[in-house]
Amino acid sequence: MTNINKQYHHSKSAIQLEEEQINKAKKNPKDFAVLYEKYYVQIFRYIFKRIADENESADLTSQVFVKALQSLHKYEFRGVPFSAWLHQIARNELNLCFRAQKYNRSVDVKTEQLHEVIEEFDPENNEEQPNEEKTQQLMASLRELNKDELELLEMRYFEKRPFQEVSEILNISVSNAKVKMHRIIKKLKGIMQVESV
Amino acid sequence: MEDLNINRDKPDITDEQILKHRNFDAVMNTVAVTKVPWYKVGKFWLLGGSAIVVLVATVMLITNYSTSNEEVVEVVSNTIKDAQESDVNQMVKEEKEENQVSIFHVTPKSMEVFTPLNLKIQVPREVIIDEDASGSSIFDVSITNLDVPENIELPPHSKKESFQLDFSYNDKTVEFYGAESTLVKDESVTIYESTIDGWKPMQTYKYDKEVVLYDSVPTMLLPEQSSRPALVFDSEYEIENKVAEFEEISGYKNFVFQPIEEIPEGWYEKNMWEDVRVEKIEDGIYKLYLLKFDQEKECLVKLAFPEGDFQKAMNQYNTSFEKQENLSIEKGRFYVLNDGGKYIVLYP
Repeated sequence: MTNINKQYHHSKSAIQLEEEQINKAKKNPKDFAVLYEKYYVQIFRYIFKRIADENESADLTSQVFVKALQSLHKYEFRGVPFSAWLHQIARNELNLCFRAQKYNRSVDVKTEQLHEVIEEFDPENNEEQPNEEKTQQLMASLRELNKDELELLEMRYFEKRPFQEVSEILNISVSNAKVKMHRIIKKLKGIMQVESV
Repeated sequence: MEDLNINRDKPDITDEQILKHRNFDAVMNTVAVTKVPWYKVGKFWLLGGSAIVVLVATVMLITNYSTSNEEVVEVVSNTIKDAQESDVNQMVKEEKEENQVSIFHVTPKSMEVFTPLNLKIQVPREVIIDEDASGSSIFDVSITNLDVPENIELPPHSKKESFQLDFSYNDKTVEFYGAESTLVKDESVTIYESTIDGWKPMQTYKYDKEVVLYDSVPTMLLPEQSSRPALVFDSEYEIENKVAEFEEISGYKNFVFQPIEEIPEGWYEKNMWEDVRVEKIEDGIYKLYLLKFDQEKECLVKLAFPEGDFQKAMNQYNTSFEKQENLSIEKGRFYVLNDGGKYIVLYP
């Protein structure tokens, strides 16, 4: 997999600076503006990719930051970017909306990303590019995944997040994320093999 | 997810479009308007609770002073009752900062007196709960050690009846299933996990509660032992592609590199690296460039199997590994603790 999203990783000094910003915001909510401006686009985009509606995404993003600010006193700094916590809040908000059937779940995919997933099924395959039929099969197979499986696949392959970031957002270890990923690929491969028969 | 909308090759929303919606003042206004109801405020309960305790204590003192019969009022105290009083459930609160056990609750069923075992509780760092094809639950357990509190009495290994022992750590209630283990290895699923210490097969075991438990068996040193742990790669960082130009190792799927020099402190965790580059110094000697955040470190390495007979060496390693694994199962007993969805494995 190429083009891992480097935006997630912060230097040690950047994380320390962020801790200071969080502590300031805990004392004075107006200081939360720094974190809001820093992560607004990221959180908006995360939500937008999952509900595909600009105005609804704006509302939900606002809700995420309201909840974050209201719960900031409970936040414990753990040496990881603040964005992981914001993403968790966003994820919870989205799940509430999906359960209430307020929105339909959407996923944005690029053809080259779908090909990367197909290449995982058979790394020794020397075909230059998977054919369109396989690509369509994979898209159909995505509907067989449950919401957690789809989320992990989406974060890793369609959003190019490193395992470190994925593990922080989903609150699991990196090795567990990798094991889960392995199973999802295996499951998709199985589904596609059945459909090919 | 039948109603999943898949948007293929849709143009990304731009930052400019997103930033049109950014409005911190609106967030502040919403937070100011949304106030926490008084009954949800922690201070209310703290003050209210304190007032009630003072009131009860006062009434007790007055009652005790005025009645002729000395009536002993039992107050729940912070002690553990004898586990043989089977009709009594006890709540004990112990604050232990180190091992984070906070509540201990015993519900004994036909327990015998026994000598406490010197056990360590292995606490899951995290657990994946999944299902296999038969519908049995599968639990991936990554565990750390936690000392068993001294005042917890655990059932003996030979107890045939199932019993239940509840205790809590981290404020979560834990159920403890302790039937006699009849763990049978489940051959249907095997996953190998590569780690910096070597290959770790993750085996499954069928248990009488139909819990299929994933667990890692103890690791072994690689066949070519060294004073430093090796770096093992499977499909991570596309190492296979990066070494494709080096004829002597191209075509392999898995790589075991032995560091020749010390890896800088804080750089050993493979999962912390963003990327790895490989440069060949000479046959069998390579330089890894480890990228983490915005820094890069170099590390000279050599192949752990310089003869090139990697697969044969790995086969030998796996055979030795299996022998050790079987020995672990014969020697050990597994107890599974249900931590409200998380499982802890107790090893004697």
